[in-house]
Amino acid sequence: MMLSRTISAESYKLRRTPALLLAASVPLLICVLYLLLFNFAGSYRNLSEVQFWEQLLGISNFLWNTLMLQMGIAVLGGLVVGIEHTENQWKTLLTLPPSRVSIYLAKILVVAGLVLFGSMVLLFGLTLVGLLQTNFATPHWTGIFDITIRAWFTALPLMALHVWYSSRFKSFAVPLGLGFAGTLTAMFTANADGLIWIFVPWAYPSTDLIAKYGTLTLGLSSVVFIVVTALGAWDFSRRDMQ
Amino acid sequence: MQTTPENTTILEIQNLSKQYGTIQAVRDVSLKIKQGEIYGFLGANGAGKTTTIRMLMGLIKPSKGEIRLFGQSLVTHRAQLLARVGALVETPSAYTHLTGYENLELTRRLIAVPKNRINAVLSQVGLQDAANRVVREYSLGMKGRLAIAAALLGEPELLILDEPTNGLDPSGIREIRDFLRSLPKQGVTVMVSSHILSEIEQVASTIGIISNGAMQFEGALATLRARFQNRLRIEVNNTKQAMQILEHFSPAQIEPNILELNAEKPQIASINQLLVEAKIEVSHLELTRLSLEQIFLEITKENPS
Repeated sequence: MMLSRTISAESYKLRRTPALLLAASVPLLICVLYLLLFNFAGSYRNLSEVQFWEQLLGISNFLWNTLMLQMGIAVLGGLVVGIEHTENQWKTLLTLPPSRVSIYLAKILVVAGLVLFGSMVLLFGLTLVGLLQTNFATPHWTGIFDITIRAWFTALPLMALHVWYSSRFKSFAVPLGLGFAGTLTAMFTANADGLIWIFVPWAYPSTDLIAKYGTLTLGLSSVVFIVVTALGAWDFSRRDMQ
Repeated sequence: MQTTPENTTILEIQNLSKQYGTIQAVRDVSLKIKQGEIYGFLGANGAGKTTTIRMLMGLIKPSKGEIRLFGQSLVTHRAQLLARVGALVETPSAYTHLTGYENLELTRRLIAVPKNRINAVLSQVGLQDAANRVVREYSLGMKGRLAIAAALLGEPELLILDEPTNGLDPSGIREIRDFLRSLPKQGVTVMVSSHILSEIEQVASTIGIISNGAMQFEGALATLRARFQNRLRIEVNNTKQAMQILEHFSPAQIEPNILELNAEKPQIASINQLLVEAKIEVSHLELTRLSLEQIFLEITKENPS
């Protein structure tokens, strides 16, 4: 009951912010880029259906699962939480009856909702690009689902992490900087030998696409998300709000 | 709004303390606010007012002590108790990208009150005409009124306002003052903090004075005044001799020819007679009543913040 109230208020306060636009614009731009690439770039034209899906999913793995998803979460997390750092908002919000835990969970759920919205836009965009480029042949549903919905799920720990440290630091530059540093680290660790990537949640959306790590990544994402959310909520509920 | 019988204690704080490392920000503060009062919480900047209010609203955890609202512990009944309290902590705040109405709708969703309360509080603070303007276009005074409207949205029985007149122009200060005075008639108990003594003097029925993190006084204004005697200022031609004659009154020489001592009106004639009989010329006698500000300074001078 209390959580539904805080989610309703959290969603309402994003009015007139660029949150929805940001969530949708990057996937849309990626899809426009694909249309240009597969119609005008020499080596990407006239591919067979199998080659087309290999290329599309391969580029998406880099653009979305390794780069844009992580940076998008950093920006959206910073926005949703940063809105309280301005104008003394935490102090006003936390003197109201809803518990700190419900406010904190609502923040994570709103970020997750925005990222899911962006992932759905990408899902529809990839489907449309696929249909247009293959003369309406059946899309590569598994590949599209892995790039969008599974990637969203494996990015949940990142969302929890970004909400946590965005709540700790006033400056928007901190979540953005950490997001950038994490994304860079993930680029190296995701393809490195061994399991070093398990310590870098930014790598999960791309390691999920590596066949041998898929199941491990899904399980790890669930556990890390629950642990980080619980630790963040515990820290937030005990913190003095100066 | 739940009704609370008169003389019921609405808020009781016992031995509240807050320590940051080696710094004791608040020391064993105890206070009591009864139903229908306007309680003025006075103190200089840095005296511990805001830290106390932050603990009261659950923003920071006390190092020691207990807070009871409406007879129940804030720790164990936080949500139910805060639903009966409206607060403005420090500077008025609002989401500047939203309109005044939208800000109140946001608060309404969080505290679950009927939608018609929004227009009711907007008219209560005189913001109906600006309700659909984004808050970034509001003046500081309008932001203050919006913050008070948000605090009133849940029809609170206790309204806690931390320095509500900060940054307001004289007409804004007067508006807030008149508004505060009207609240007890509507069944709202008010705790208002300020370092502006004249403001508190004009609205509060009971005051608490905090200095250096500790309560120095709590009670009615009349009680506070009664504690401090009037000051008699005497201008004479021989200060040294006059001080010897009036030794019993512990006079203080404040200027070469002027003495000051504690005295009440009936004593003036006899003091004058003593001086005249000693052939000291008395050219001026003036009895001054200490203002609340002077009393405040007296109280806090031994406990500077």
